[in-house]
Amino acid sequence: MTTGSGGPGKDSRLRSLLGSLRRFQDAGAKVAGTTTALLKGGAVIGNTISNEVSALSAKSHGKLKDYAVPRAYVPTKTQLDKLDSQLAKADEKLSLLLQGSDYYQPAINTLRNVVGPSSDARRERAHSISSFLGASPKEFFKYLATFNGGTVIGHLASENLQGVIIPMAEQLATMAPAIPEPVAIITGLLAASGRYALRVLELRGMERAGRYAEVRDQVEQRVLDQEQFAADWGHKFADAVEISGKARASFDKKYGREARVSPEGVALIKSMTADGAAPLEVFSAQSVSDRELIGKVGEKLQKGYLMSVEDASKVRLDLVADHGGDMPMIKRALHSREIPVEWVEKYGIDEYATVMKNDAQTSAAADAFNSFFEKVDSLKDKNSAAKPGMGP
Amino acid sequence: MNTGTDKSLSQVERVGLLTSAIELIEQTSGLINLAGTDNPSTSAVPPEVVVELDSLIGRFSLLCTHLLGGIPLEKGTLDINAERAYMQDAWRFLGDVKSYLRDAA
Repeated sequence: MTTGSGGPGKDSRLRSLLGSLRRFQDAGAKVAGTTTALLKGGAVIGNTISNEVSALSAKSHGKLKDYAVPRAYVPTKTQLDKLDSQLAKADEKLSLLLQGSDYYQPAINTLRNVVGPSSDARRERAHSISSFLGASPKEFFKYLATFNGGTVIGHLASENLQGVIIPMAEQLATMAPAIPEPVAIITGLLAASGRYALRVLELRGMERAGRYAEVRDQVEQRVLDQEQFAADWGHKFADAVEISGKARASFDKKYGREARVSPEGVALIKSMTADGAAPLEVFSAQSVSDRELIGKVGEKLQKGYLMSVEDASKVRLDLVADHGGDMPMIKRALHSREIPVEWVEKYGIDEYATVMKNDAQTSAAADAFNSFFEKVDSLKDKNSAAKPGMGP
Repeated sequence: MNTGTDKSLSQVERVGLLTSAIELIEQTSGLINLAGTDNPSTSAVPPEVVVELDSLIGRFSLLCTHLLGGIPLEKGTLDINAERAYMQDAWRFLGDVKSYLRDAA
């Protein structure tokens, strides 16, 4: 809501905004041509994309409440393995379908050149691309993931699947009547980029989690610099004090600097565990404040990652001891579901839930793929029969 | 206009255009969140602006899909220069919305 000054100033700003809107609308009306024609037939696509991009963008800024609700997550490793395998098949089918096509090879080459076939290649490629695009690899990944994730995962993991792919295929058939199997091609393209998007999202989350402590130190240094500036020059620049105060509050809110398990508590965990004490016994020996903090980790492991009571009871202590009681880091990683990659093996935490929201959606995507693959196979067989020269 | 089509785009240009369009989408999405457009009665911007922002995302998402090869064109070509110019118009519009939100806060 607007909370600022009202009156003539507000009216003037509103008039100016509406003037800007009209100018932009006029500019849009002048851009005649194919994109606009495509857009008219693609309202459903635009709408879905819009919703998904908004959701992903909100998630990247930590504003999407769904992503903070533990019950929204269930173990998804098996489902995602299944999905990933299906996506790999889609990629393979896409390659077959693309053989001999003048239309798709340049596009798919671009996609593959951008994202790369392997983790190392992706990183390398991102660095080289960013060097001439002026964006950091992280940002570039984010854009790709936002777009690919929004348009592909969102589409495939929703009931709107047919509402998206079929209209796109119909448009393709209208615009390019000579293209064979439009449904298969659209499905394949979306599936291939979806597969990349999954990997990119996973990679991005893990990279960020791995750099948490480093980033926190950098941010805190900037806050300290601002506080120093405010102390030195606050008498001259009134804003400096206010700005540094906001920066500190923002830092504390985000990184929760104060909330740590005490060094004594960490030492107690280590010594009692080494002596063979049971996890519950170690937990009970903690101070009230430390017990409260450690207890929250256990709750998150149980509710957010569906870990058993017994496992969570042990893992919460291991996490706290191994990370020197750094609760902000532990909580942030668990809450955001962007957990460092080594936690998966060491603590048995399911990292796959960092990408997909819930089982139902993943199942829907996997089922939808199966259904489309049958169509793809059928279309491909027809195409092979019609064009004996094509094929693997 | 005959001053450039998508078929004459190099890969570098294609990726550059794609990245710009995606950034535009993300910025627009951020503004929509900022403006709180879920509820028109409390939204910080007029409804017609919300509609235009939504439509902007849809349009440039489609351009992205096209640039990634999702919707190839057989009849006619995409006027890339016109798209670039329109993108500039979009950035200006977003800048104006952002200024409005900042002033209103």
